[in-house]
Amino acid sequence: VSGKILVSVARDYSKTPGPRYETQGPFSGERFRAMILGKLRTADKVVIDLDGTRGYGSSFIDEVFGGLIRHSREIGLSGSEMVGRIEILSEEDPSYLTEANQAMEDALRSL
Amino acid sequence: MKLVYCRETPGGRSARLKRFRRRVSRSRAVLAYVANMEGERHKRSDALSLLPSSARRRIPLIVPEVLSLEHNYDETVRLVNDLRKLVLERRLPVFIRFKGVKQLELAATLYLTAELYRCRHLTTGGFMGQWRLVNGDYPVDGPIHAQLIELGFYEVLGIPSADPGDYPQADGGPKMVSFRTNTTSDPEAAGKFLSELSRLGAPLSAQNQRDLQGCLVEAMANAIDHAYKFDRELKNAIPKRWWLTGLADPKTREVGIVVFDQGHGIPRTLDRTLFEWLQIVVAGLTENSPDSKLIEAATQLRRTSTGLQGRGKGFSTMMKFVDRCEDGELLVYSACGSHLYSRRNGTLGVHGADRTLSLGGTLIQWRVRPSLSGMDIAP
Repeated sequence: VSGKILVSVARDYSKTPGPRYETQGPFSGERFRAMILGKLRTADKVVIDLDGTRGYGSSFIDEVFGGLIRHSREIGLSGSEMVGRIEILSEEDPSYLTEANQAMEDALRSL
Repeated sequence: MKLVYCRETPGGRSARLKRFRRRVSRSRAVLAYVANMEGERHKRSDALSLLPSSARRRIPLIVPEVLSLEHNYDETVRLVNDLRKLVLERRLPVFIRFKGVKQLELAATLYLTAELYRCRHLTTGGFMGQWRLVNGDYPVDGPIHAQLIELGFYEVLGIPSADPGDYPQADGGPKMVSFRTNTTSDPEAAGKFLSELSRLGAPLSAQNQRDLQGCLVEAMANAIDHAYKFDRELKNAIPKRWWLTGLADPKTREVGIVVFDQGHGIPRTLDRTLFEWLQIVVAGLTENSPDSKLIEAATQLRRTSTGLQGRGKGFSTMMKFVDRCEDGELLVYSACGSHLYSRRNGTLGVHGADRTLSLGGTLIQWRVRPSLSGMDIAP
């Protein structure tokens, strides 16, 4: 496990991110979160770039970032260790950054 | 152009006999129903005398002159409720009279179309299922007919319509995006819808479009996961189905988007755990609170984390859009209540209302008038 990986949602996943769960529709937060967990198995840090998409629903962001904390045990990390291994970029709309950080804080509190 | 949407098909002698008996039985039911329309004698005889002979075996349902949830809620909802009860519950044939319609509101037209779609798809009868319980006539008013054609009303319902060229749209009037419907939360469909709205002249900034994309995905997902959650109790439902349409008015620079589902409504789908959490946040909230209060309470979920995974995030996106507009509103009709969350000239406003008739689902409407510079204001 080493290095830093940049994952762009628009480039590596979809320009039209979808709902929270896979059962609700395509390009779900659930599937993207699983993809990030996979990357974290091989990298020290994952930088997630939220720019370049057509927009996000709060449920997608909550499922990805809150979900990473809730599922951190799957890759042998604690919630706070997970926070240290995720970096978020959102220059187009900083409110996504706020939502993502809030989702992680909420998930940490409810662990 | 024929006046009726569909015609009965011929069959063998026994099929004809069966049809005749069914027709007699239905005619009796229709007559009994019409006879029971208390206090509406004149309206009833007028309605029947105006119908073409092929429609007299059907119960007439008259679309009000103003089909609108905002300006004529009771008549609009009563029409849809009657349609649902007669066709889906009692399996009686109806004839929808569009002739006198003078004004169609976008949200109410979507609402009626969704019900007609459900009735026509869940009820078929007669030879090879081609005999349908819902039939009707066309509007006389040219602009109304043009509006229905533009919205894809006839196309969605599988009804032959006139050549759109015969009904040109008025110059400078609102441009509408045709009805969309599906049973998955489809972000690409939401993106295409917003692109079409922009192509029609909606002055949406990139920020508006990103916010609205999130709103649509959330509204679709809510319809799929929450609206029909007690679907065993929902008779004659088409689970997970949502409806979407929109308009752009170049004159007023107003943009409107409407999403509708035919589920239980927000007040009934607030689950127990969520409700107990809401009672802590919203003063005086009980299970017997009016629907408008329950809808408003549901919107409060965005303000604080519930600690409940997967709940309460949808309204966050929907209201964020309004918060970032100079002049915009989110209007939610659900069950018997409605809740308006608006921002006018930078001032936030909240208003709730309750009625006696239930909408039979949830309708979410965004309206926005971007500022003259075309840029929205982010607080």
